[in-house]
Amino acid sequence: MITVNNVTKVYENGASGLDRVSISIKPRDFAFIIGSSGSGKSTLMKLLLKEIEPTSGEIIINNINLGGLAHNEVPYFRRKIGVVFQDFRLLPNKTVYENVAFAMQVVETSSRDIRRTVPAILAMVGLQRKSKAYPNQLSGGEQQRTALARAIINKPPILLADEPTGNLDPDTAWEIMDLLEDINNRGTTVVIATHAKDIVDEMQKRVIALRNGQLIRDIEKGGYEDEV
Amino acid sequence: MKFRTLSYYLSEAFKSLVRNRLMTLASILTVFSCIFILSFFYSVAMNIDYNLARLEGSLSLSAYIVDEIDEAQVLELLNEIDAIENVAEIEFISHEEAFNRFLEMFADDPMFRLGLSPTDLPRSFVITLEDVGEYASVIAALQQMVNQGRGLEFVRYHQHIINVITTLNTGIRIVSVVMILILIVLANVIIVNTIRITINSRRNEITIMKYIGATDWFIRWPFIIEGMLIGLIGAALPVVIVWFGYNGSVDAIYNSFFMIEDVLIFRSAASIFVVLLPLALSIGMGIGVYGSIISMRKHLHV
Repeated sequence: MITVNNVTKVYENGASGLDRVSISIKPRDFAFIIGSSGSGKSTLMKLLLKEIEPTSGEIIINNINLGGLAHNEVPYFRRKIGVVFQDFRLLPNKTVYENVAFAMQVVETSSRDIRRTVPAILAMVGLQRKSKAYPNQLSGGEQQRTALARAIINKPPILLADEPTGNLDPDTAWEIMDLLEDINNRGTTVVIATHAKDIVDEMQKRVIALRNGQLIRDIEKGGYEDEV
Repeated sequence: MKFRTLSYYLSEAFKSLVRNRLMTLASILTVFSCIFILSFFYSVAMNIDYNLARLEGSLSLSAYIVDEIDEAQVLELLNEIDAIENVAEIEFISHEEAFNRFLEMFADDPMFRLGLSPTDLPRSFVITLEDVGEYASVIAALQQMVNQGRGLEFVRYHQHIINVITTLNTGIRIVSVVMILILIVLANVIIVNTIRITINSRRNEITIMKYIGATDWFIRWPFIIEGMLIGLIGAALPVVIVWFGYNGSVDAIYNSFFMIEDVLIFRSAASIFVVLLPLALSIGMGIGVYGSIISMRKHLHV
C-alpha cells in the first residue's frame, strides 16, 4: 500500500530531512511514526502527501509512483488519502456540517450524496448534535473529530495523521485514538506521526522510529522506548 | 462543470466581493471610470463621424463670376466647368437670384438691404460633385481658370470646416484613448490587489482544499469569477448611465435649439449601444479576468 524505497530528502538550505529510509506499510496496517522534533517525521508525512519531492529514492502509494505523478494528477492522488493535523485546520467561517461537506464539494460530489453521507459520518464521530456549531464553539477534541470526519468522508484507503493528539488533553487524546482505531478496523490504513509516548506504549501497534532522519527501529508491535 | 460546482464558484466569488467591500468598490469604480469615458467618447465620436459624412455629402462648391464678362461668356464658362471630371451638376445664380436669396435670408432684418441692388451681389455657379472625397482635382481646375483670368473670381469650399471638425475629432479620440489606457492600467492594478487580498484571506482554505484534493482550477475559478463580476458591474453601470444620459441630452438639445435638425442629426441610442454595450462589457470583463489571472500568478501557488 505504502512503499518508501531508500528515500533521502535534503532541503535546499542543506538540512537533511530523511536519510536513506525504506518502509513498507501494508493495507489495513495501523502504524506509528515516532521520533523527537527534527527526527524526520514531518518530512516523511510531507513526502507521503507529495507536498515535497524526495532528493533520491522512490515512494509508491496505492500502486502510484509519486515521482511520475504530473502536477495536475496530484489532486486525484490526494483524494485517496485522508489527512488530519495537530492544529485541526478547520474553516472558521463554516459550521461542522459545512466543514465536512466541503471535502465532498471539492471533489464535486452531488448534493444528494452530500446530504446523505455527512450526517452518517458525523454520527460515527459522535458529532451529530454539533453539526450547526462553528469551530470556535467546539472543544479541541470536537474540532479534531470534525477534522477526522472530513478526512474520511471521501472513503480514502489511507489516513495520515500528523500529531493528531498534540493539542489535546489525555482523555480527549484517547477518544481520538479510539476513533482512529475504529476507522482502522473498518479497513482504512492508518499512519500516525506522534511523540505521545503513553499512547504508543499502551496501544502496542506497529512502530517506525526515526532519529536524525534515519530509520532506527521498525517493529510489528511495540512501544515508544526511550532511545528515540 | 456541474451546476452545483458552478453555484459554489459563484457564491464564493460573491462572498469575497462582499467581504472585501472597500476594495471591491474601488475596483468597480476604476472600471466604471474607464468604461464611462469609453462610452461617452464613443457616443460623441459616432455622432461626429455621422454628421461629418452627412456634411461632406451635402457640400457644394461656389465659384464667383467677375462682373466684366457677358452672358455668352458665362455660358461658355458653364459648359467648360460642366465638362470637368467629377462635376455632377452645375447651377447658374444670376444677380437677381443672388439678391432674392439674400432677401430671403435676411427677411427679418431690413437694415441689411438698405441701398442694396441686385448688381451688388456677384453672379456665381453652384457646383455639386459626384464624389466629395475627390474635390481637390475640381478645385485645382477651377483655380487654374481663376488664375488664367477666365472670368472666375474665387472659389469657395467648406472643406476647412470639415478639416477643423476632423482634427477636433482626432484630438478627442487620441485624448480618450490615452485616458482609457491609463484607467485600464489603474483598474488592473486595483483589481490585482483586490484579488490578492481575497487570496490572502482564503490562504488557509486554499491549503485545506489542496489537501482534500481540489484541482487547481477548482481553486482558481472563484477568483476568476470575482474579477469577472467586478469587470461586468463596473462596465454595465456606466453604459446604462450613458444610455439614459444620451437620450436625455439628445432630447434636451433638440428641444432647446430650434431647427438644429438642419445642421445636426443625432444617431439613435440603439444604433450606438448595439456596438457599445458588447464592447464595454467585453472590455470590463477582460480587465477583471486579466487582473485575476495576474494576481493568481503572483500570489496563488496551487
